[in-house]
Amino acid sequence: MDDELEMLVDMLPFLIPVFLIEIALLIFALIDLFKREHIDNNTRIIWAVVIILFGIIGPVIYFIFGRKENPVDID
Amino acid sequence: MKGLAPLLKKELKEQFKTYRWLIVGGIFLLFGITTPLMFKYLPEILEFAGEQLTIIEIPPPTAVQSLSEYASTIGQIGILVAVLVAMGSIANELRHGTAIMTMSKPVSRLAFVSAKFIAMSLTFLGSMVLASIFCFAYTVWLIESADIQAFIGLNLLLGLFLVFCLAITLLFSSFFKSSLAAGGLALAVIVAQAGLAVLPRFGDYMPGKLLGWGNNLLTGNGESYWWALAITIGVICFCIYFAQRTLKHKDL
Repeated sequence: MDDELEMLVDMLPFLIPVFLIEIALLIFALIDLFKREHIDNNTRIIWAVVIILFGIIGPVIYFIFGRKENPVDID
Repeated sequence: MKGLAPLLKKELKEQFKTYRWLIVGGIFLLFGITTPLMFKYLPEILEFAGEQLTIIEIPPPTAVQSLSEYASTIGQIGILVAVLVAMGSIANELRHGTAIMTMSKPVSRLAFVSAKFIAMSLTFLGSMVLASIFCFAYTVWLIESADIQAFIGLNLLLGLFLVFCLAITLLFSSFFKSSLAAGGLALAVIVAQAGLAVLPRFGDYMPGKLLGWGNNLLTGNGESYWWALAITIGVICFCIYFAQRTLKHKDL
């Protein structure tokens, strides 16, 4: 157990950028989701769950597929 | 190319508005950071996974292993990201009718396509540079020193391959109003050429060979594939030219 903890402590400084990327993606995705007007509440909740629960994949899936639901934001 | 500068400015803004820089940058950076970490801590991770696994002898990681694993991951994930990001770039504009609004202004079709291509390529290359810096720094820091010139060469080839994937996807995106159709076909073509790239002789001319060449640079042996490089650049130019030609003959 002590060894595991020691390894985690060793790795932690190197993992900080990974946490920052994940948090940045999460925050940007949630801000975008709640700013959008053309999504009904049920869809919004489902996307929020996807964004929060699926780690880095959730926000990426939302940005690629979820944003297309708003007819105003055409890419 | 009439109107390239304002269109490019608009497309670069669009990269931020649609969070493409965040998607591509985030994914690339994630692999750039985690690959050397995985190599460094793999024996410990396996050891904690279960006692029966400790009998597996894992040789100490090398810088070449870490950097080439990073390149291989970016090569595979990069294809998917390139297709996903570029598949709707023209198709969505055709479907929603915004392409005709842009084209009604004094801009050429070539400028319209080129602006999208350049903006997306810059997003990809910028993300790759950032991820590569992290990967190289972590590798040197955690494992051992590595040949920076070979790694730069590897990244140039990898970058060109990803730009090729973007160009192919952009071409198919100009054919269809459905982004999924464009993405599916682009992916099929990219996978098919990757399959052909493993063939002896004929494979030496495929863009997929650039990844093998990059790996050869790292290991310091093996061949160079200049023909694959020339053909990749040719295919990129062909894709851009035909994408704008398709738009010219399309009933927008």
